[in-house]
Amino acid sequence: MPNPALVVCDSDALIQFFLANEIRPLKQLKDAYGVQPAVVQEVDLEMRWLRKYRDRFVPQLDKALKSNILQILDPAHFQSLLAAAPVGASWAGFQSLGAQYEGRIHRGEAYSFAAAVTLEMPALSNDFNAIKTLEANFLTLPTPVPRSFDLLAFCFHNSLLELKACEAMRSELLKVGEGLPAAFKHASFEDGLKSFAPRLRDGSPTFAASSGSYSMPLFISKI
Amino acid sequence: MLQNVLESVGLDSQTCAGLLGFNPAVFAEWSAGQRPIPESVLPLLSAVFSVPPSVLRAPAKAARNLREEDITPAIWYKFRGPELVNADRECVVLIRQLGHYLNELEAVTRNRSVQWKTLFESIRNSTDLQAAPREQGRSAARMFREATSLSHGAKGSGEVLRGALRSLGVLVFETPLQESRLEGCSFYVGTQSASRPCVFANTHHVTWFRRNMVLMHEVGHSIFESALVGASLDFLNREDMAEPLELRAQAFAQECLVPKSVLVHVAQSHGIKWANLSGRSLARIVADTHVEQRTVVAAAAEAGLIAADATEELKRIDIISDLHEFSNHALSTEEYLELIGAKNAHEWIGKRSTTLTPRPLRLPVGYVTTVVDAYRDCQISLGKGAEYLMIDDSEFAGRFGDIYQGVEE
Repeated sequence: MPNPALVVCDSDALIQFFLANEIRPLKQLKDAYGVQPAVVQEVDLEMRWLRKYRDRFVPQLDKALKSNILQILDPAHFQSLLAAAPVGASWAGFQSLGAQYEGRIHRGEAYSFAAAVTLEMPALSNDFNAIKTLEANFLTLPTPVPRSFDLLAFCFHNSLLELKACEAMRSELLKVGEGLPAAFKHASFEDGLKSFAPRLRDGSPTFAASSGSYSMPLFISKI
Repeated sequence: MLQNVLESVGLDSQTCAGLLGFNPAVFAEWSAGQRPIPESVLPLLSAVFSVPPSVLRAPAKAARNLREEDITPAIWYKFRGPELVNADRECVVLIRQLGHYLNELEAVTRNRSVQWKTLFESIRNSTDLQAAPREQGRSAARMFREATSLSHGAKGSGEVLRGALRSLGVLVFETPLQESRLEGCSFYVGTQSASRPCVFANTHHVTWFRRNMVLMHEVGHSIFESALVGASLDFLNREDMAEPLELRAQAFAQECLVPKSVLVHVAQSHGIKWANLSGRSLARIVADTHVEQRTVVAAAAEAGLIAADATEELKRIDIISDLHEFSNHALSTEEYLELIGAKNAHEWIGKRSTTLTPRPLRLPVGYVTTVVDAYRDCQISLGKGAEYLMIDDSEFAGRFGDIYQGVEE
């Protein structure tokens, strides 16, 4: 199977890259693997005003959008993906699913997950609570849902990012009280990797979004 | 078009952005028609401003041909009046947002109550609208009491009325608004297909006994005219009590809370003789009927329990110290918090205060309970619960715990 055309990024994952001022993993995903990081309009909106950080991330967001490292999944972009999407996928269906999810989880992740489910693409999100909530209510989840540290570990394993940069990101996030996967909470990045089960791996793509779970690994290969 | 709507309701885009949690620059661009409003945001804006989504999405060109009267929602006609301050309008925006949240929450929990619809309609249909306003109010109150738990036991219903209203599907909101002259108001929240009445009472310098009357007065307005006139507003020390609509709402509140049967029962249970009412016995009646002194006296006079010429003197008797002895409801908020201790005070007040709103609001107990129960039942995420309570995620986890803590990711 080919690499997925895009990965739908949720705010909490993007925040971690922006907080550490480290967006090379997103760029590598696009340049080396042809997987375009994208955000739904709701995440674009959220990133422009977060209660905690207010408009702190606007310059970084605009820069990433301008350089096309990130793209907004607006109606035009969404329509362009429909040819390769499952039969019946539509903007209206995506909006309706997003609205359904929004009753249970934040708007940003609701529409991110809805877009990923509709287009059968992976979603990048750290929100375990939102995942468990949708799961508890038998609502479809994107498959898989890698976390920001899956992408970081992926970049490290494939020599796209040096250990020092990965550790710097971990330290920065820890310092500002961001949530980290359990493996990295009390261990350095290098040590944490030993007990971390990554959801993003280099190899023969076996991605089949219609099956599997949110925690299954996604295999992608260089283009 | 959003700009026209904001101007018509007397709010600026910067304030609205702050209240609704959007980037002010983005909100200004939406207002000016320079950036499309995402479809997902339209239901919230529509519910808050009481404007159909199609109007909000209409191009700026379309606004040029419209007059302000064509777009100003009925509710905002009232709230842009000169007697109101920005705090009032901001509070209404937040309450309308809460109404939208409540509809969302009830949709996911499948626990929506619309009993108010049939009850209000049945009361309106059974009321002779050509009768004297006070008689209309009393007649409506009798039907209301019969249909709810208020008539049980011929005793004061102040402690159960909020729950009774909530179970009907009415949004009851009480919070301090220090700068406001508003004592109470009522209006409908939610989009047309999912609207519900909301009754509001300003708790600043208003006793619990008085507030019970204010809330039921607003329910009276909700039944008869709030939906038609957009909103009913009642100000502190109001002088318009001779207006027919106010007479009807006041008679409704009084008959709901202190009908003759309650007065007689309370007096009998304490061996109180109406003929020689002392300050202490009056305090006991106030404590047990759950309404303020002047309402008790007025109701007793109307019921023929006391002589009409004794009312003025009875309204002036100082009952405060006796009332403090008989009822914790007579305590000020500070006194009550001291009485129940710091831990319980945090439970009672700290867990329902918003922190992300420009001005802190005290959310209704029932609403907070519904949100927390939905979270504990895994129906909503922690982040969504925090959004519904207008607090930060970490604040929510601190107040109510993280149900997935310890679950390995």
